[in-house]
Amino acid sequence: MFEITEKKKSLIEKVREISKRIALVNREVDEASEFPWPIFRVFKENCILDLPIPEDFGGGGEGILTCCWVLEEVAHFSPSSAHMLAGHWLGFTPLKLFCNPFQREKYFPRLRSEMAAFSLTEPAAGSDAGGVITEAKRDGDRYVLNGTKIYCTQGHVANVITVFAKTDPNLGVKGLSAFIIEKEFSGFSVGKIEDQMGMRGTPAAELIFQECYVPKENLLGQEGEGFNIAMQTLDRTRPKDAAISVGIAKGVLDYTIDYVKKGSFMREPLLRSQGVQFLLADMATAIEAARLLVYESAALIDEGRVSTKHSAMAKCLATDMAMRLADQAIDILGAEGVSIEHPIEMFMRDAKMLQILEGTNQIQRLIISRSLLA
Amino acid sequence: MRFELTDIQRDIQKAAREFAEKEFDLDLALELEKEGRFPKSIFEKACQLGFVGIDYPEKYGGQSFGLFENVLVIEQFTRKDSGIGISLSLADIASSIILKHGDESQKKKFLVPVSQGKAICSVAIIEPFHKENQKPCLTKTDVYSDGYLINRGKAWVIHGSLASIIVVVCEIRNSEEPIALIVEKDWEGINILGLKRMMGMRLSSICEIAFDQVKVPKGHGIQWERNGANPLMTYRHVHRIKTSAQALGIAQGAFDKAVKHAKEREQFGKKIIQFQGIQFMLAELYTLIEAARSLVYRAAYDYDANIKEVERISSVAKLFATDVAVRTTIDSIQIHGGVGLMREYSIERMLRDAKTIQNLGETNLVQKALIAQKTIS
Repeated sequence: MFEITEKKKSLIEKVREISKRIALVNREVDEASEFPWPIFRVFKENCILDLPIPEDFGGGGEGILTCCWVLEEVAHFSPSSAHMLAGHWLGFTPLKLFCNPFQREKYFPRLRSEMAAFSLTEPAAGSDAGGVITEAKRDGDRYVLNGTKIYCTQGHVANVITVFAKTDPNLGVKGLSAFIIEKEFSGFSVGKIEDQMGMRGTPAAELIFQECYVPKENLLGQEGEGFNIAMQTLDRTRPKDAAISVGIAKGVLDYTIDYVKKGSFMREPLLRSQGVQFLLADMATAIEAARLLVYESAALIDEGRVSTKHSAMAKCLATDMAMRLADQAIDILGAEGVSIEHPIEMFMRDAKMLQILEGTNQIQRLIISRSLLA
Repeated sequence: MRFELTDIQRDIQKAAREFAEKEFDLDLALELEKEGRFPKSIFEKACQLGFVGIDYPEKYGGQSFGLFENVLVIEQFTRKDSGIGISLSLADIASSIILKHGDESQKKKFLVPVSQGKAICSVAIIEPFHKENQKPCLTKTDVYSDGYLINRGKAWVIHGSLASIIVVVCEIRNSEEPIALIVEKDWEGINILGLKRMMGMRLSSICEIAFDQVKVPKGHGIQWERNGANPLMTYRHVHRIKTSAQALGIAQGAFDKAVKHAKEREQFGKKIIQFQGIQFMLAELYTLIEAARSLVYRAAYDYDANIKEVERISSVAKLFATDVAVRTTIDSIQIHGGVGLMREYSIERMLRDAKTIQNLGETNLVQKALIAQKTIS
């Protein structure tokens, strides 16, 4: 049902070849904890970065399902690199949904080769977007932004960032508006770059706005529409986090199977251990189940039947699954599994990030149960 | 049957907790982890105060308590800081062999310096694998007139680069009889090879050791007794129990932090601990930690009381407590949200440390196989 179509096969094969080469520097990127520009350039030059950008603007014009296939394939070999793409696409999604024709002309072509980012979180506003205190005051033909954002994935390397701020501080989420911020805007600066557990090639950054002047043309959508923009964006990006998780899990399982074929356990070949056999069976089953849900949630979006519930279920199930699988894989590999000579411990650290970013899995459960009980 | 600590045990627990609170500085721990350094000065202080070697008899510099009291100390140490706690509790990893199976002169010579903080002792058991066929190369020893001769090497030696005393488990050539040899690191022919870097446990160096014609005097050998526990079994029982104590402390520490954060963090107009989703997570973790504590204490008690069940219960405790530690640290990160992922807050470090101790040495798959074997037979 969700088989990769003939048309897309060559794209996925190309992505696989590129990802295998990128994977050779995984450990280096993890240790450095810096944005790996060479990998960015590889994605750019091979027209992977611009896959979701409409064809009219020179992009790939691909839908969510194809983007999910691509992310799954990249994450299979290099989760952090998949997260780089997903971060860019997350930054592009609100623009794709809400840009007016003028904004499209201005930004879409740029985002074929420049990084985009999405910035909602603040110290007091994590799960609760209503807690945003960054303020945007109208001043003639511009807005003046003041406040601090945190945990903006790749915010320090992005040229175009969708930033959410309160145009009416007296209203909760209804006072939120979205703005297209360019790196060069005066009053904008990057603060602390986080030293995080996983996905270390795509560190999160603090963004500081001090009397930051934003032309009124850079308001995205309408004033007060910010929360809607954020939620519609996340509905469309959660399947992508889920796809990365499926890729991580596949990478972990493949690596584990190779190890099991060679290893030994209690003086017997490891593959003869039924305990291990059953673990592998459960792992493979969990991956297939999660993958189908991810593809379904993505296909629904492409068909114009966006399901908040399905996107949340896919994100929650797949990210939890990837974390559990990486944990179980280490149990099979033992001391080798926690050694940095093998990639599994890194994949586990990467997987943990996905259970929290773009809405913790507790928030996903909240969304799912709300739709059940509505 | 009493499920209570004695007054003295309570005092030990309290003293260990206070020591850890005072000495295990978070910034220091982060710096040590980055550089992969052992907390030497804290170790020396812990020795002066009698926390290390608490289970040695007084005449060897100890306090004449048992493994149980040692477990109480380890739990409080890793509860405060997983990295520092683990590295301290592994610093006398070989002493259980010498304590139980060594002779008088060996105990005097090797236990006293450890209890004084002047030496670290380690154990070398695991054989490195032949690259081609994944079979272990057995470390054989030859017997000669004045003692033994060791060649080849050992892998996964904890604190290998720091230890000055290493108990090497070998097989005597031709007779296939096992023997434990106490080796001093400054002897000729001992080479420390590549340091292994792990996901966690970065304060404890793990390396391979190569032996090139190393001569071991006769008085340094520990024979296998015909009946009863042998040095390797003793080490394994104690190591499982100490690992489970480390895990228990990490789980408790991660839980403490999760509760504290949930009480402070506000979202949607209330403290997140008021959300039942968080409450149920905490309730499950609390239940698991209590169950783990009962098992760990029981295993330590069985060891001290020489109860044969320790053979199985030590595996049960290690399996359960390390799994609980991994689960608790994963969930604690989840409750912390974004800050849980950042290195400076050290919650993610607890997961990396928990996962590492769970898998170094005998894995939990091995524990399951051992528990099953004992259950079948």
